[in-house]
Amino acid sequence: MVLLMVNIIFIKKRRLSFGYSFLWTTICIIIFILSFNKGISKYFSEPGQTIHVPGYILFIAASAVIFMFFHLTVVASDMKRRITRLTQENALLSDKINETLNKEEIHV
Amino acid sequence: MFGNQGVNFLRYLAIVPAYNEGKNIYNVVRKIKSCNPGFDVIVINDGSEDNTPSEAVRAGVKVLNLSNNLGIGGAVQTGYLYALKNDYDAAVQIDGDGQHNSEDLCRLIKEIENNTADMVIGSRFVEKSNYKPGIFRNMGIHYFSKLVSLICNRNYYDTTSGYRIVNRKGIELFAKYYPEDYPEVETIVYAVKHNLRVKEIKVEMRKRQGGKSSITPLKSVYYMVKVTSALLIQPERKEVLW
Repeated sequence: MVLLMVNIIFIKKRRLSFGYSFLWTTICIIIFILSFNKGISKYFSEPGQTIHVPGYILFIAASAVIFMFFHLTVVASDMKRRITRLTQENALLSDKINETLNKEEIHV
Repeated sequence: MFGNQGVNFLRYLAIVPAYNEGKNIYNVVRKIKSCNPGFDVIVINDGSEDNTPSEAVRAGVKVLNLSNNLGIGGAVQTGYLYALKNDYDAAVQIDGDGQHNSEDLCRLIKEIENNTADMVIGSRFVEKSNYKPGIFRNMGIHYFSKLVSLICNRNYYDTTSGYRIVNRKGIELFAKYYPEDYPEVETIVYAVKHNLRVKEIKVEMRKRQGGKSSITPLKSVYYMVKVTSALLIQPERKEVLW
């Protein structure tokens, strides 16, 4: 519940993009349902021989966090690649601008 | 021999990536220019905090200033992008720390001019040379040499050498994709897998003329793991197109 509320506050402030907030909301709702509905938790935990229901919920939560963490590293890698390309383009454009300015100065 | 000097009119670019190489860069650039007057030289200032850019300008060459420190891969790739956009026919990568002897450049470029290779590596081990690495460095060099030779079905001896020249085909390939860190070994396999003819030519290398190597013992462990994985898992062709 706390996580869900924090999630909503961050969306309200627009500090968390909707894509990520959707993922967090889904995780929160799944954990919320599993925590408050014993029947569903038991139904899903028995085939995996996880008799201990709270342990099963913890397993689901940990899996979700690992998934999110992996997803974020993919995003970070992509961001790094974009920043690299942006820095390179910036350097090349600055060079072009300086070259043009120098040529103009010579003409003047 | 080169560029505007008569015999042929191919355009050559020397890419010198430099990070805090203020003590060396002037001499490195002057040496390249005096040995190879037909070469255009560009220094890629990889976010240095010292006087590297002003020293490079003092040496009379163009400097591309990267606003962030991208690491060796990002800096060198900027050079290849510059070469691609300015229609150079070949580009050579020379370290800013003064290890590479620019007098050997003529022999490297000859292979490109004669069209016997698309990428030529200045090698310390293809023949006997005076270069003597430390024990662990030597073990690493041998390990990567064996691994690259196995993957490429051909013997490569100095896979960690950063002294290399590529023709237009190589420029186009590396402008699209270049590994961000520890790129030397991976780029050989990447080039071979993209049908570039990669050749080694014996060169002499000096010890660093100043500054400090960035590879610490901990980083060397990461180096081994990262490069081995990168060699075994080559990028998909469509994935590397920006």
